[in-house]
Amino acid sequence: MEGYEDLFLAETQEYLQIITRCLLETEKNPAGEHFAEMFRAAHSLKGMAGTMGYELMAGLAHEMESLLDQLQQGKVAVGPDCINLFLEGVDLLQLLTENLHQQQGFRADVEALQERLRLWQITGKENLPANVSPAPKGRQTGTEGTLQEGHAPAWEGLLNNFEKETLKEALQQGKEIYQIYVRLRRDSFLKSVRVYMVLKVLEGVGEVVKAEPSLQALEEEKFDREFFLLLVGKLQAVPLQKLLENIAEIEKAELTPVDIEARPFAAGAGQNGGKQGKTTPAQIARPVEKMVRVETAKLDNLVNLVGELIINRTRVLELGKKVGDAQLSSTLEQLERITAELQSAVMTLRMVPVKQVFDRFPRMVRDLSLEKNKKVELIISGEETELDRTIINQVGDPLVHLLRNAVDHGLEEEEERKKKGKDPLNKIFLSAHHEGSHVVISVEDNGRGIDLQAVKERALKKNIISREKMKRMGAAEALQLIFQGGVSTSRKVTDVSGRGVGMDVVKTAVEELHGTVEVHSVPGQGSRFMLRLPLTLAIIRTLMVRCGREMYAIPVEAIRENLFIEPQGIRTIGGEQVITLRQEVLPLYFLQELLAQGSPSAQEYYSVVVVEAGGKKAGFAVDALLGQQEVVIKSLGRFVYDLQGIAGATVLGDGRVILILDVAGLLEGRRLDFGEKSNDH
Amino acid sequence: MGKKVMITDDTAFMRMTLRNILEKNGYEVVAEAEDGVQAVEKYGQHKPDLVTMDITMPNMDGITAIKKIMAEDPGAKIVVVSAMGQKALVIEALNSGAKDFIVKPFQPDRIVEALQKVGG
Repeated sequence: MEGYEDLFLAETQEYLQIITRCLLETEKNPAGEHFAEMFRAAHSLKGMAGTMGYELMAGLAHEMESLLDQLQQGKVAVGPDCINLFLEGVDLLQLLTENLHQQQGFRADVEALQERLRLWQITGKENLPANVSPAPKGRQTGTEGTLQEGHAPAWEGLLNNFEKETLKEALQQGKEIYQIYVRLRRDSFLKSVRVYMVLKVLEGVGEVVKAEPSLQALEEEKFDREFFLLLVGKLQAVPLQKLLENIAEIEKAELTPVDIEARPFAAGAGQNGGKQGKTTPAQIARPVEKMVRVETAKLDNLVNLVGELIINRTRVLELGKKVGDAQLSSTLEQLERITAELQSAVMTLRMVPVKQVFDRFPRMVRDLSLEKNKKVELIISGEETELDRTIINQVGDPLVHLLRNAVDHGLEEEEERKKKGKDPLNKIFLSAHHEGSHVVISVEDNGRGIDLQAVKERALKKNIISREKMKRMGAAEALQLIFQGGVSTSRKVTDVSGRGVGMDVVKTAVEELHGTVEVHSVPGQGSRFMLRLPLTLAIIRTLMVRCGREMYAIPVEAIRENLFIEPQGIRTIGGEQVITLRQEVLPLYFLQELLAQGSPSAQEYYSVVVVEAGGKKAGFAVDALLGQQEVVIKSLGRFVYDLQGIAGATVLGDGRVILILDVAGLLEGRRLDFGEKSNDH
Repeated sequence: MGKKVMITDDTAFMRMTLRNILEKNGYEVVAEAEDGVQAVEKYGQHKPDLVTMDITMPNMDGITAIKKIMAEDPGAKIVVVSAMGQKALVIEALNSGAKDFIVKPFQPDRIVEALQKVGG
């Protein structure tokens, strides 16, 4: 089972998220019908954990599943305490997955929680008189032994959407649906074990989609002596009836083909009311999202190979041009089109919706707000926006920081808000949307905003700025100070957002992803942080520049503007060359020198690329600007991977290898201190 | 000639009851075992067509005995005769290879039915 651990963990994570999301939605709207979905998730989780031999997880999931079943049937009423209990369950399962190999240490916790879940199943029932139990639509009330002898259940009304979906898929696969009726002899003991034996026989031939009474009722022997099962499978060659009747104390087993129309999904199924109208696959055809799990390493390899293909295609195209053969060039054109399509198709493989990250936040914000006693509503939008998987994986932590900060520092207590005449409810908006080749994720709150004076004083105390600098500083510039290490705006240090680390960490993390962070804040009205992230890390837009005989690629996101300056525009201050750009003094570096490629030749004027990264801004003087180009990033390999200032390399159509500059790394290497050098306006 | 049966139970009373029922119904009781150890040993000697197996017994319990017999003879046809309330044990026995079960105390026709269904 070792090899399945990763898959197990990934799927467990998914199921826990489903349960959490459903719980939170149920908390908001108890009438919403999320029990079936949660039940399904808990059930699957139990099955997986059991298969993997994690009995504690399986046991816990089992109790959650049982209680969910009761909730689903309306036998137990749902309430806030109940939801908290489930959330505890989710947390404990999470803990267990994080400590897969030391699960035994949690045995006492698991058993205690199991006991509480069991208790809920019983006490919840007492709280709700049986005759007023809300019967979910289409469900017969009281499933415990109320079936009349041989009276087949109305399956269609009993099936939930998931079960209908299962049936439909099975039909599409050419399987058939059967109703199995089983009657035990009177006064049988251990009836549940008989059920178990029946299920074991069926295991080999198909899948039991539904039971009436429910499987749980059967397991708990809450039935008289007969039950019905709905089975999908291919049975032609199996003497199922005989197999079942061969079990001791089974008096009768009956097998009838069933015609169930998965109506909510089946287009035109309504006309299919004929007597022998067995629903055919064509009639219920519906696009089903078929998912395949693929190892990410395989995807990465595919992306890499397509990158190579694109590079070689460009070379072939150029060679083709030289040959000048008409047939060849039309074939090459076609090749170009197809490879371009292939490339975009492969790129989408790596894309996943930001929902994957966003999903964990409602729970986090809920817990934080309870802990801080600040009422807050988290409003999420654009969660279907897609981003590169690598970026998704790494953007989570910065977002956690921002959200925690928002709850901790941004939001106000209810009294405070009322006093200010604001809506008593704090709101945090988390959204994502596309902007060109970028995705912007924004975290916005309607809290108190950032106290600039406090930020400045803090920066002064930490020796990040001088006193006179502080006095001259404008609002926008002061706001940027929060991204400097050690500047925390909270008056008191809390355990939520820590001790002044945070914003600088956020900025660094985002920049590592070739992204940027922007902050806007209005005192008394709230703050907004915007993370601008590239869609993918595999391809970046660059500006090609020439220095001497070499070409370099500068990532566009680090470029602020390009300009030409004459040699007399360059001044020397404190031993460093600088230029003045709209009254802002910027250090100027000749890229050739910076990269230790010799001295630049004197020219009539220089092309300067103004770059900004890692909180530093500077000008790079180059010999020529060659234009923008999208390039596929290739790693330099192990020999030179530690080269500061170089992000990677790319191969041009003609086979030339071009270095891609890492602007932040280059500026870092120079130990610049633009903050103290630049003048204010 | 009826099918050959081995009865396994640690109480003489139950062995006698079973023997009476089975012989009345045309079975030939070829061996009686008082615990799992004897059951495994006598199964090898007598090669019975059918076995009744108690679960809770001294020396070696029924489940262990089932496992050992199944390992020797994967075609062994064993019916568990368990006490009430041994749900988990019965399931374990079934998973270990027992073909069916009945619960004590039982009506004579129940054990006969079980053996017939299992014995084919």
